[in-house]
Amino acid sequence: MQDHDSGDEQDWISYALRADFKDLVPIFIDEEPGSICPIAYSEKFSVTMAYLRALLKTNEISKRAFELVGEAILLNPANYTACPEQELSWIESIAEDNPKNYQLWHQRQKIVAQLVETGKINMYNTKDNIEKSGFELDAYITSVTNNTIVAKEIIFLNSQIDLDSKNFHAWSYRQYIIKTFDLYDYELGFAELKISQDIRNNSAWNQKYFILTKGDSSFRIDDLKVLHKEISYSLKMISMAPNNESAWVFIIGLLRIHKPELLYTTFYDSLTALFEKNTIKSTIETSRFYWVYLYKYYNNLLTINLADANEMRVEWSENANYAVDFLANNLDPIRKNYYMYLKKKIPAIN
Amino acid sequence: MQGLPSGYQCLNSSQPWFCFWTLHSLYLLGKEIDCEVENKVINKIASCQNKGGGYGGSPSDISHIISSFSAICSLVIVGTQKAYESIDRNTMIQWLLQMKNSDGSFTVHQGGEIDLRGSYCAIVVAFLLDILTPDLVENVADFVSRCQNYDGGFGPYPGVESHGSYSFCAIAVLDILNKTESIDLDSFTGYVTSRQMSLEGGFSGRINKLVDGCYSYWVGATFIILHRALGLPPTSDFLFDRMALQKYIILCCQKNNVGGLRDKPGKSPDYYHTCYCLSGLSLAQNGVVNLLSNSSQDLDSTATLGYKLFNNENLIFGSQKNAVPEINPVFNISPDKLNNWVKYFK
Repeated sequence: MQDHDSGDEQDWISYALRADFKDLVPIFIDEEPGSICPIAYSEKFSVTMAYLRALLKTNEISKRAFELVGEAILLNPANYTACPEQELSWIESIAEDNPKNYQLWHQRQKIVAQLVETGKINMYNTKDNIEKSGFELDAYITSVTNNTIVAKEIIFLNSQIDLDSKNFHAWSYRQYIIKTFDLYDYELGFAELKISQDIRNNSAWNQKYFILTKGDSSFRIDDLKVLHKEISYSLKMISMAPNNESAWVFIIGLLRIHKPELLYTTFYDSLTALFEKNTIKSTIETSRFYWVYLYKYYNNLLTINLADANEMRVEWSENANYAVDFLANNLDPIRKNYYMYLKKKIPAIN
Repeated sequence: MQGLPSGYQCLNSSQPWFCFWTLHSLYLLGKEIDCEVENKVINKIASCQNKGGGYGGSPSDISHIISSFSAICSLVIVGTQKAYESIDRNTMIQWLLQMKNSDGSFTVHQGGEIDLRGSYCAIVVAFLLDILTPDLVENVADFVSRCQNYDGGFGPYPGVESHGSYSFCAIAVLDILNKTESIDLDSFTGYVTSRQMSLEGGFSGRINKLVDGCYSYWVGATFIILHRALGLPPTSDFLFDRMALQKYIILCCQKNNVGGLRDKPGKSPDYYHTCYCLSGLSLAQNGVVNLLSNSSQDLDSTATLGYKLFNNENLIFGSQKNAVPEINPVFNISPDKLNNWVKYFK
């Protein structure tokens, strides 16, 4: 709740005193005396909004309307009624102070979407154009796209994510740009860079999944090479930070959805192989995700191998029970109710 | 309710929200509102209603699904015949259908964004006005399901990162439609239970993010709805630590000598956090469960209203003075006020 008009209130000249707004009759909304939840508006706010209502009434499109709308949005960025179809760079200047505002991000997407729908986006297509636009481009970006608008959006998004690496709106809009302009190859490098800078950046992990599935939740990955690569990648990250929820849910989710038969075979083998290589076992054993996985591993054995020898089943059942009891009583008691719920799901032994 | 400082003018387009946050907080604090306040709320909300249907965030804004949600919920809390009659239900259903997309999603306002908040608010508004028509419901659950991610949680839109509040929107819509079986409940349960912070006791909104008092409601309510979805017995405890959550709210979300509740220590209280911290406190204290089936085969179209106190399973941290009354987790309104409201249904 920053006060957006503090500081420049003195320099501001009321629209009521300006000759170029003289013909307008401002529309003030009278809060009836004692109305509920009234906001103490500043004079600047109420006058600007009153003139805005007057302009909106006639749908006037003019230079002064642009100025007024701009002023109104600065005062109240959530004013979803006023946003003009104007320059992206202007939005950029206010987005810096309002990184969490829905309207600003949506408006950006709408402008780009309109350029795509009308085909006008192609007017920005040549390398010439990028040079003419007179701003310096990252050599890497020019190798990814030759469209000025797309390049600008990527650069803008990169800078927003540099400021706040988990900015929800920025990542969401980023998915639109990546999908619309098919920039998955570039994006894989970006997501992995962000993960390497902070392995707990869940937005970046989510982006990695988005890239692998080409932004389509019904897309199924059947390339084993890709899945094996992701298993080693995730395990490398897990060995660096065994309690990192992002890495565990990524790899378990990926396998569960795309190749469930690997979840309790290849992945289990690769995980236990980590233990042999170094002294990591003791740190992995501090991870609640590891124990939940073990529980699921033994539970799965009990579910699929119904005909196996009873002594094997007894051992699996003991291991599954041990995992959830250890979680509930020692490692992660805050989730005790959940672990007791999981315990009830362990198949009975005859 | 008598006046908000100018710092709130950037929330000028959230006026029905101020009504809801303050009215609901007063209910949770056990304060009755009088006739005069009721009438002022009705007038304020009516001033935001647009001719083409729906409510804007202020008298000069176009209709917005989320403003319409807070407007209708405020009127349900007021609960009078006059409040009910102030609503134009015919234009509301027309407008909601205009906001609906063929994939089952909703656009939050003309030309606005599409996300699960839109789905939740549209379905709640339609339910509370008894205009939940087949046209409106068609494909809604499909779009919701498409927002479920690999980690089991839900994002605002397919592909976007999971978030506690959008996960709430998803399960709440499916609860109203009796369709919670249409998602992967197993991974969802894993995602939701992971939101409680081991040390703080409160909930985080996203994986590897910090605790925030407002998720006490958004994530807390998800647990109550999940209890029904998983068919857990009413006598069994919810899948979160009710005492730890209360401790976080009571000890960390209040500030000495300052009213209201807040996100976390170091932040200032505001109306939004006050409302949702108190709502979360209510969920943690009261054993509210729904015994009605959630299967779409049993066509009880108002089963979502069946959440009520069971066996007085209350659990209160600290003094009895900390006790707050119960709420329906799907609507965040008292069960009595909801039952009073449905009498206006034909």
